[in-house]
Amino acid sequence: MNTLLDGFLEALRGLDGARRALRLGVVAGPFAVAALVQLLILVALAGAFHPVLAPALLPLLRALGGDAALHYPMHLVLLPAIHEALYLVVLVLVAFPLYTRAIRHAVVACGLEASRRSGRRAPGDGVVLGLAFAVAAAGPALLAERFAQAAGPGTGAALLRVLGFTATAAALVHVVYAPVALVRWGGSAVTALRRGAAMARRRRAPTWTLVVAAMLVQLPISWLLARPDRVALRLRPETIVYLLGTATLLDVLTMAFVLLAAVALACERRGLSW
Amino acid sequence: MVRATRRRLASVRRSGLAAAVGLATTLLAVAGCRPTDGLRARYRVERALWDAQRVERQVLLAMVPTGRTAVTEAIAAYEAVASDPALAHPERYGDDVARDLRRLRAVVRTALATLYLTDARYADAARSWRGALADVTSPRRVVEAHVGLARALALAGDREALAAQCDSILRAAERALWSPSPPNLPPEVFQAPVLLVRLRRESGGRDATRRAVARALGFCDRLADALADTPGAVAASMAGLHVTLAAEQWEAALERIARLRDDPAAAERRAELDLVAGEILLNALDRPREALVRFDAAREEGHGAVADAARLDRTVALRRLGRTGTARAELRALAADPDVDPEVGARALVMRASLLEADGRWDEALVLLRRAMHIHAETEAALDAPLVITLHYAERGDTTLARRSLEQARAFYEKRLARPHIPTDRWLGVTDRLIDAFGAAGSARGAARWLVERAERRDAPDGALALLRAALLEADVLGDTTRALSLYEKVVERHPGTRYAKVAREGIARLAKPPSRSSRRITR
Repeated sequence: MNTLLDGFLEALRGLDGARRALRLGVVAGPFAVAALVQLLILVALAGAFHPVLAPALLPLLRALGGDAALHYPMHLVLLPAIHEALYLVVLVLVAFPLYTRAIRHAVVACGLEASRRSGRRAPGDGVVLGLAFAVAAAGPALLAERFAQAAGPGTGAALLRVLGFTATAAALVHVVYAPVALVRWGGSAVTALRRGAAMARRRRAPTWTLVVAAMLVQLPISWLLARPDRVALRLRPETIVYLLGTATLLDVLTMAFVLLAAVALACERRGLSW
Repeated sequence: MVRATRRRLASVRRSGLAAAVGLATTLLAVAGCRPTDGLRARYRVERALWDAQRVERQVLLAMVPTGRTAVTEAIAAYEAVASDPALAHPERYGDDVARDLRRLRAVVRTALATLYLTDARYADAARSWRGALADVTSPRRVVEAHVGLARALALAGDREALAAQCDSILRAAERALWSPSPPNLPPEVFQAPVLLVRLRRESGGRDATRRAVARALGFCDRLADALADTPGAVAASMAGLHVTLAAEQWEAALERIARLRDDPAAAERRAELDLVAGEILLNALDRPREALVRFDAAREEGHGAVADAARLDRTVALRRLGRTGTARAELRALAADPDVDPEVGARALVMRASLLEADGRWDEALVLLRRAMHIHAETEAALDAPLVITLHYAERGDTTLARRSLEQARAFYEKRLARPHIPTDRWLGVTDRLIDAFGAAGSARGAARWLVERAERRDAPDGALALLRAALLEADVLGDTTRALSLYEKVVERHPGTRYAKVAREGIARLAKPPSRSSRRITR
């Protein structure tokens, strides 16, 4: 019980550290750029039928969502699925390299030493870490959902979903320190993942608290976005776009807090802060 | 500096970012060559249609009766969709998009037609249905569009076009039945042949009626054959029976009833069929002895309202056969039976009262009539009771009692009319009896005044019908042509494009026509 309480308090300290780190322009900047890129992609997808965008985006919509995606309101009902597919690509190729850059600035700003090698290879390694993060975030949940759908409605499906949630949290806990490890000690992305997992094992309680809290914050909006047809019928199809926009901002924000809290906890061990 | 930039570029090239940018550029280049006007136009129409349907859903889901403004808003929303240039010329786009746009146009026109009907714009509704007919392709939708058009024409009072449309319904239904996947036909299809015969009987000549009857019966028989072994077959055979009834071909009707009685699929309707056969034998063919047998069969086989109606009809047959005592005893039993259908119970009381009145036992009859008014106040039969009382005193020349019973009748009928959301048929039934009560008490002027006053408080169709009845009273009973003309004009002005306006115009034409030479000679 004490360990849990200590872990919770440590997580709170980590979050407070993340808040202070985000006041630094060089740290907040890459997160803001990542959010902006993702919002731009969302706006482009939602407005894909605009004369300027249509020639480029309608074939993309058809490729990702089928012919149904070219009809109203199915275009908006399918938008969460289409956005999810593109989000994973953007996370791997754009967002995670930017997050790694922000973490590097945060590490340097708090007074820790950063590996020079990691700075040179940051974009490429960031892509690999992003891939690992995407697999951790989407893999277990997708598998659990597939099995839950096969099981049909009932207690079994609910249990499978809870299992999926726990597995996702476990996977994320093991990759959350990887960017910090990469920035601090350099080496390959695989080494960073191994070191990050070791760091997570050492700080089990605060890391689990951070990751589960971040996932719980996103849960209501994710629940709504898993039922876009009902949202379209009960409210308006356009509500889905607003929900996706909010989900995107929330995702970047929770990601910033979780990753920077991990940095803050690493700094705290050395008695350093921003 | 240059070396550093090169290094960075090389790093970017190694990363996946370059691949992503390359892929996106290729997609843009490939996609840019494809025309998207049709897809965008279709999307625009679908979006506008979704919004219009949302407005319409609000109208349909309204807990209170829909206001005129809500319907007007829904109409405006759909008219905005209909005015989209893409819907006007779908052929401008590719085959797939053009097909979708035509389908959307049919949806819009169908919805508009239904809303126009709600808004009493019958001519516009007919135009929209005609437009929808040009776009719908599925056999069921074609039949539904014909049925909708027929409804609009009926409400617009265009009887000739309505008869033609009934014929179109029969043709469309037959085509639908022989299509590769025959659909479930809407119930109105089974009413169309009966309506066709009624219309032809009312307006057409003898030949036209004979042709319509043959056409309608042929259709019903073919429909029954095509739908064999389904519930639709019985419905088609019943439609055939109703055609013979509408055409007053009583022997043919009895033959059809006999055939239907032998059909195991119609076993549940045997009692109902016996009741109809009994009523034909009793009222149309004057064969009360045979009718009695049919009523007995209906009473034994049926239950509920059918069995009770058979018991009541039996008393009429018994009276025709001179067995008045038995008839009276059965009427008394019916009136005293607490489980009997209220309508039949009330009718039994009124019939017993008539028998007592005929025997000169008015005091006993009055008690029964008042009991019908109190116990079965909401039944159709009880509506006759106040009228019978007023007529009795008026025929005896007792003006004071006639006026007093008129006041009581008026209070009774107005209480019935004060019910919220009273259906038009019921409203008309009550109003007609009140007018008769006014007439019996010698106060036709009072009836006309009451109708005009009521018309101010009721929307179409009740308001229009009240004005038409007032105009008829003024013209035919009170002889005030000027007042009648002004009432007819009021109907035309308030309810344009409706069947009421059509009737009013016919009334105006009738009153404006100079009297014929022979009638002038008589007047002189």
